[in-house]
Amino acid sequence: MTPAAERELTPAELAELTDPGAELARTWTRPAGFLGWLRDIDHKAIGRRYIVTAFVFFGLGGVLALIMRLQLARPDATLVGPDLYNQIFTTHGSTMMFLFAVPVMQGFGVYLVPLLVGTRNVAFPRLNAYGYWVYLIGAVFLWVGLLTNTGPDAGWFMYVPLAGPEYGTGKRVDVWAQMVTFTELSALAVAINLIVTSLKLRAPGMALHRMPMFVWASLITSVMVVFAMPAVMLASSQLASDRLVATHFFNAAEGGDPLLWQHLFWYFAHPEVYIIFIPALGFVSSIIPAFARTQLVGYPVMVLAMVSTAFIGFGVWVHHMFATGLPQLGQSFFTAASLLIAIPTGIQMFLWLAALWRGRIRLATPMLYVLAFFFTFLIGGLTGVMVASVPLDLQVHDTFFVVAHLHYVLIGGAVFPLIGAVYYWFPKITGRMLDERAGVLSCALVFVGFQLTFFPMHQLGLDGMPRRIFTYDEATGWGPLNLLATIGAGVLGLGILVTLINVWVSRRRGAIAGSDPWLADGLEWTTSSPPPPYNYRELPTVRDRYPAWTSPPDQPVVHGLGRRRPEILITGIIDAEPDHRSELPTATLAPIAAALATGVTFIGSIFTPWAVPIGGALVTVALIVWFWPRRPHRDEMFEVSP
Amino acid sequence: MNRRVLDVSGLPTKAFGPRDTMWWAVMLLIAIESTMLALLAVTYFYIRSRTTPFPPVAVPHAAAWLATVELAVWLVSAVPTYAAGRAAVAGDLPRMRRQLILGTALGVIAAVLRWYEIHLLPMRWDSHAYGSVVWALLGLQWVHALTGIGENLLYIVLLYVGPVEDKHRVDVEVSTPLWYFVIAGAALAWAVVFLEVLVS
Repeated sequence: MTPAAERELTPAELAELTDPGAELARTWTRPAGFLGWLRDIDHKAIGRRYIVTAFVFFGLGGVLALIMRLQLARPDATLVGPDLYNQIFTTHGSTMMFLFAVPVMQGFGVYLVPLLVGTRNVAFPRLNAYGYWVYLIGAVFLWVGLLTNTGPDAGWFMYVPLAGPEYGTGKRVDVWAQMVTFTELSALAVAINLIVTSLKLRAPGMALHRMPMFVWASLITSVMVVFAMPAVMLASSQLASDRLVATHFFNAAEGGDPLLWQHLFWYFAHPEVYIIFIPALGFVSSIIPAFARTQLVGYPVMVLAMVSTAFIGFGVWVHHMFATGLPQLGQSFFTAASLLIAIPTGIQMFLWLAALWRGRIRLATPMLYVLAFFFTFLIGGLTGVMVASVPLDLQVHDTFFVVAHLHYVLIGGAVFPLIGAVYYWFPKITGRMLDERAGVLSCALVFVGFQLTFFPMHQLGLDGMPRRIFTYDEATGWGPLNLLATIGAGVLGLGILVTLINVWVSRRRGAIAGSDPWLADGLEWTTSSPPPPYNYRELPTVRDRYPAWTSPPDQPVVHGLGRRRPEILITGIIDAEPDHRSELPTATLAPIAAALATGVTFIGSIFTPWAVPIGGALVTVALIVWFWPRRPHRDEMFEVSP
Repeated sequence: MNRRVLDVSGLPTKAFGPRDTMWWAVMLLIAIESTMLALLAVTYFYIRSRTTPFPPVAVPHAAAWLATVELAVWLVSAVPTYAAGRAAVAGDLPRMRRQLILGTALGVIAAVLRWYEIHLLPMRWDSHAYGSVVWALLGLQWVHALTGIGENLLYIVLLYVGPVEDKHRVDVEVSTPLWYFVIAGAALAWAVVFLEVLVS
């Protein structure tokens, strides 16, 4: 074997390259027809499906929010009763966290990371497709539950004993527990893919210190997923087994403990906030260089800030449990840790401001959303510092103050940059521009609507209005601020609707984007929009952090990868030096079959334990088809084959 | 027009250990499942701190000794597993088959011992929280063991039936960390559940 070497192509090789795209297209294009669509394992297709599906559930979760706001708009309203209201707020929270926020961020990762690192697909394309189908089944399952009056009703955190076998009768909580298992399985499949793709599939020359910030964000988030999601899978399995086979993990009468649930749940659910938030940091760090026409300030510090946010994020979960009666030392520790997390976020804020200061800002829609993020997330961060302190937390615990705080952090901190990212990368994904006037209008409506909705909730919380109540008495005096919040929710919903219509119309009628409409810096802007099935005709090499801005015209491209087989280049972790060639699997129905078998197992187990062995056997069959060896290549046979 | 290229056509089509993508996937799977096991161990000690007397029923010494024998079998199985990995790197097919069969057979013996151990326990999963967590810990680790055994059996069939490609050597080599993880899990389950019984 010879090492990779730079050279110039001979005239004969150059002639051979005149139409390399045709051969690549044959190798990388998915099979035709509906079955071909089901078999597709291209990261762009799977990423698009994740993003579209997540936005559908964002819309559905938003409709639930609007129903809640209408119910709360005035005192003693009777639009929905208490039982339905419980199902609605639980499904709203579960949908937004499990079916929208995490999948949409991961969907962007699935779509973008291979393009950003300059390769042709993710490291494990079939696992990627499996992850999507499992997510889809779990998501539909939750909503079928709600629509059949079996929607979970004990809050998105499903505290026991309310969610336990004694009080949570029926199948409502089981629906939630299995939905969690589906979505976490999916999140883990994506996380494995994104970690290995960003560590091993980077373009030659893209050393770690040249990795795009969004890839860093995806990598850090994925590592968090690997260590956080098992906690909720374990906890939801324990909850399900307490309910279905009479174990006693959370049963205080038999030596279990309801607080154990809270520990396990928040050990997952606080990092979950950062799993949603850190990709948004990656969006902001991608949009700012493009729209301030300058390089980021303090790249290594930014990366370290994200790493430390992730690290500290695992040590703050107990601040959700201050009201449960903890040892004072524990309270102090978790207050300190919760305050500590403001430091890396603050550092990033100042570094972004420094880049904006240095650059020449172009106020296009993605940048407007980033500015909306700055303002809104700052408020959310500051109220976070407030509720990190135990005395204040005890005052506002379980009130609308916390509802305001969490929406400032999650919508301001994650959804605003996300919508900015939609406007930024839509041209790459579809080849067409979103309408800019509609974008500006949407940003204005979303920003104003958001503040009108959630800022009054701070005051409502301080006035003592509890969360999760379906109505309130007129004498409380909470009516006017609630009405204001409901009007704000309408404006916010309108703003989101403008963007959704913009997306719907522009995907066919928008202006043609060209490969690099923003004159941005990332590798993805060097290929066509939308990218071909194989992403790059020749895989690129890079020599610094902003390849589209700084690569010389004679920057070498990778030559010598197989075109008739789906071959990719594997590189070293630190310096991304070429290491070996590897062949990816082809499109197949196995991932969707395995996902359906998984669905039979999880959903069936709610009704009978026999679903586990039966579903397990079905999964095994699907996996055998999945891993069935393709026809071997003669040149890669082992010399002493039987 | 000239075109500067980085020619990778001479690079190999396989690599062992951390150079291979599948090795990383195996490591991440181990990280995920280790987190599950670790949190179950935390659950055990959490329940332990809230149960008096602890344990609520006396676990027979026979079960603990059987578990100790099981752990010993697991530990011994590391030797042929390591040898199978080395044979895969060296390209020694007969040795790969032999060592893989030996390691897997030891794994099967250990898994059967676990089955008997669970039957010696004086409680069911629904007796009390202690019973729930012991069954969960031993059960989850048992599922890990069965997964490792199942994977090895598939490789053994493949290595006998063929066609064996060069990359299957990589598959066998990168599966060895998974087996070590199963052994480590067995050691954890033994230490959490049975060590206290043995020294009491």
